[in-house]
Amino acid sequence: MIRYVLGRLVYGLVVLALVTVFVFVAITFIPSDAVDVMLADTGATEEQAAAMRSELGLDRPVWEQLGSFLGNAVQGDFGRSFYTDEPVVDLFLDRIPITLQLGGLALVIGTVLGLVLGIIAAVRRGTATDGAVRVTAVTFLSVPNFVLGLLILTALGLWFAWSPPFVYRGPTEDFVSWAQHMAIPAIALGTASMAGITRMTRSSLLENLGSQYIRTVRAKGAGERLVLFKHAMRNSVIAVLTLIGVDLATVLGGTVILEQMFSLPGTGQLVYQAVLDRDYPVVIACTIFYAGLFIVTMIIIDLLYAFIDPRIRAAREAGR
Amino acid sequence: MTGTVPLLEVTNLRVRFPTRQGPVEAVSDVSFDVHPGETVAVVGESGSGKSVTALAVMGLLDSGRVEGGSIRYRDEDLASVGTKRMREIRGEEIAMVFQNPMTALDPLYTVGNQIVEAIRLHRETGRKEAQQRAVDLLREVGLPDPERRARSYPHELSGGQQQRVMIAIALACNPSLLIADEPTTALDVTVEAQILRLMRTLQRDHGTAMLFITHDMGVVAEMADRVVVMYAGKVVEQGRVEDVLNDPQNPYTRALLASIPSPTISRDALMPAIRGAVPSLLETPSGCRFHPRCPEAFDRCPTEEPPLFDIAAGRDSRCWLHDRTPAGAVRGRAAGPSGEGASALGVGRAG
Amino acid sequence: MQADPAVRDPDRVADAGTPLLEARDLVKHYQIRKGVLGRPVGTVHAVDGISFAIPRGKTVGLVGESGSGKSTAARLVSRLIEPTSGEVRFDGQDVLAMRGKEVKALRRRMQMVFQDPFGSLNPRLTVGDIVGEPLEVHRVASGRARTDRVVEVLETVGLSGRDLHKFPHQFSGGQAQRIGIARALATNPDLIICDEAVSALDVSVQAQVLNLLKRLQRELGLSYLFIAHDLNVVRYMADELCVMYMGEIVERGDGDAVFADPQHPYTQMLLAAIPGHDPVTARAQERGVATGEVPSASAPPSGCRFHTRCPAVFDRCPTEHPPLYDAGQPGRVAACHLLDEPRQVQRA
Repeated sequence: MIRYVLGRLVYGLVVLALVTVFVFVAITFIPSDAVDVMLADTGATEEQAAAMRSELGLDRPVWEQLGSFLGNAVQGDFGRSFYTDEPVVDLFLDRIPITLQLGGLALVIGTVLGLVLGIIAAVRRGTATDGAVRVTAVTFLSVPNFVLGLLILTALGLWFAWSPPFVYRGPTEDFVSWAQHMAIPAIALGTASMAGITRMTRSSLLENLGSQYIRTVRAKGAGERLVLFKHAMRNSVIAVLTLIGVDLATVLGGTVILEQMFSLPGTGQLVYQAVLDRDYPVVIACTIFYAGLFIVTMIIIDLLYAFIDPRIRAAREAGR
Repeated sequence: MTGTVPLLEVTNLRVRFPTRQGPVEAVSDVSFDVHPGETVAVVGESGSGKSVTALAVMGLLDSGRVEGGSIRYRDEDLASVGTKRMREIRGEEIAMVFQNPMTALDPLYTVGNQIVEAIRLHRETGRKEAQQRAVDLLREVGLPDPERRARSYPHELSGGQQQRVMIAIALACNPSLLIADEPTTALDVTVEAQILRLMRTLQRDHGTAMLFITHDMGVVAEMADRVVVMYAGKVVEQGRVEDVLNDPQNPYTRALLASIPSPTISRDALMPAIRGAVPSLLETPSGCRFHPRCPEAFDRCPTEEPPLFDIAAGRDSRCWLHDRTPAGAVRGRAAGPSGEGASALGVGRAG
Repeated sequence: MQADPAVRDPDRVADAGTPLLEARDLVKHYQIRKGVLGRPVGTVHAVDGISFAIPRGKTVGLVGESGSGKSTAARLVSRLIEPTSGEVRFDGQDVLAMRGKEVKALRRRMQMVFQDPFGSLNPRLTVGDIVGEPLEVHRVASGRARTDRVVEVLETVGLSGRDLHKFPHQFSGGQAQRIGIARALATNPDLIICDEAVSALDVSVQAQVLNLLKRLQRELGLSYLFIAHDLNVVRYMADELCVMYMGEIVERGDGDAVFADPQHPYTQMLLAAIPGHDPVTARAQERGVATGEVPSASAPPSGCRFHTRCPAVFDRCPTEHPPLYDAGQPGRVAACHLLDEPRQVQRA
């Protein structure tokens, strides 16, 4: 098992390296760079611009920039922002808690509601409740999260003349303000995963509830609660776990727009601004951190598979 | 057999399933009983309703519903007891072993855990004590190294071992009736022989009654005291196993027995086959359901449904050939009008 | 049925003396690989050095329990999978040396019928298309000629031209298996491999299909490789019976003779395990001899592979692999050291 995890980590590093290369190459295709943005409307000459480029290292060929970046990155130095000259790592670490709060909250809302609704729909299969849950799920799947956030915001403003706070305060500093600030974007972000998880839970549960080992459990004289939670649910969880992993990526992507909309100073906002400013070190570092977060989550989910299913455990121990 | 009070008495059972093409009656007017300690085999081909009958007794029909009749177990009607009482009966009074051991065990729990679960659903036992009992049960069903096996997962066992575990689960609470639905069909013949031997030993030791569902006449011969032959949802013949197998009275039973390849039939001879196919439940034939395939059918068969004729003590057969007297020999539970038109054929085969 | 000249192979060797199909020392091993680099950590012995020959117009039956390698053997001779080693000759030609076109020509003369009648028929095609497909694939007939040939084979198997435009789901299991047989017959093959072809059918229908196969053999001179786990069915169908255990043939001979006097302890166990249909003898016989289960194919027992379950095991068995010894009557062989021992050791 330890060998397996090490193997996955090595794969993860390879993926990270590929992501880095991809981002570097992608950036070269963007017309205009940080210097263009900084010197726009300042009337600076070409020579001044060239001097600035050379100072920032932007005049070097891409592969050279990539090489020195990777060299520094393995030592924990991801460069400095073109604008504030702060180390990118510090910028990122300052802001990541907010994004993790938002994303985590969204995933918790999505997972909990999704599981509950999925279970209800599966147990009440074929009834009006089931129908209502399924229609709700499809609806939420098809509405983009920022539209949903906007709708909630507008509705609350129009009917209750209420809007969330504009300045972020941490949960330890002012919990009520924090909760009010986080609620709407977290709900907007979480509903899509809720809808997906509802559907997955429902179909996976139905499949398992119809299987022969469930009939065995019932033949033992077990009640439906035992059937559902000890047996059917645990067998369905693998499919749901996979979906949660995928949702993490969607949620992280969603924070970029929603943090902007709700003025939450998280990494989403940081990335958004950095892209507009062509602040490449920040963009690159954030991308790598996101990718890393995603890879680590996937490994954790992978370990959970093995924890839940002895067959997966056995296959890994046999090295297959 | 007849002296005792039956443990299970199924009377005029009807089970329907909803399908896209409308409701389908999988079990029509089925009656039989099982006495304490005896083995009754229900035998039939696909679509005969034999498995549905077993599931109906357990109250485990998925989408199907009992539409009529009664399932009397001791002094309760299982068709009408509440779900709570039914749960108490399942596992404790009536246990079941299924066809496919590979898929009948939850893959995520150790077999020990699954046996412990069966014990603790009905017994106020501590976990330790239940675990010890699980190991004892595994030893009793003949698994080597039961302590280690209790910690195994289903996928680590062979098909035969998995079926032994299923039997251990079924025996966990010492039920009075064990329903076995094709328990050896998925197994190799040498393993089948071992499992059947085990089931007979356990039955002898525990005095358990058995309702044995199978399509295999060889298994019937080996296991059953009495046999109920089903065709297209109906009982067509029942009686003591040596009577039915050695001297079948119903044309279907006769034809079915003949069409089994025997170890002695000449390779140059043709197999005595039954023409046509097993009817779909969506379009059951009129009159006697076997008449389109029956080599002995006559004019009465396509139009009138034959009742079960009481042709000897404890021996019934559903065929117009038995109708020798106008009314007397006819049992009252037949659906169709009985007695009239008896002159059509005077030859009876009973005797 | 008359042979269509269009489907007759022009260069068919009409040598009645050689067997139609001959398999010699066929071996199929699967490597179990481990890790990213896939280094082999074990070998599954699916088929381990089997030999048999199918004479023209005759049936050879393979019996054995699951994992005995009987289905793998069928796939090997038809080159659906490549053997690890060994030799297969079909009508005198080296099957394993065949390339592309030759393999295709071989398939035309060697067809298969599988266990699951519905699973092996494409539910979206009509019966006419299913049965006609091999004719198109092998460019035997198309258009009008194809339809005529399809109707002809449908009638041969007891269906009719009216079924041409129906879909598989409109048929019962027995009829669906007839469609499978019609498809196999379409190209006028010499050999049909029946891999558990009647195992999924109800008994009453199974007898019909067995009769059909027998009639086709008589009328068309077909040869069969007949594989099933039901011993009685194989005995009825086969002229020669091969009993397989863990990838090896442990006994071979005339079916009636093998049934009457099995020489290998495994055959004896297998035959004793078949439930009889007479309740009195079925009880008395107790089927008591069967013990144990088939060991893992990745770690077959040393010496005789059956020694772990054999009631007659003695000192030679775990160490020495038994060859096929002559078992007295002509054409009968069995891989058991008892046949090599002096009389007093036997049945000790």
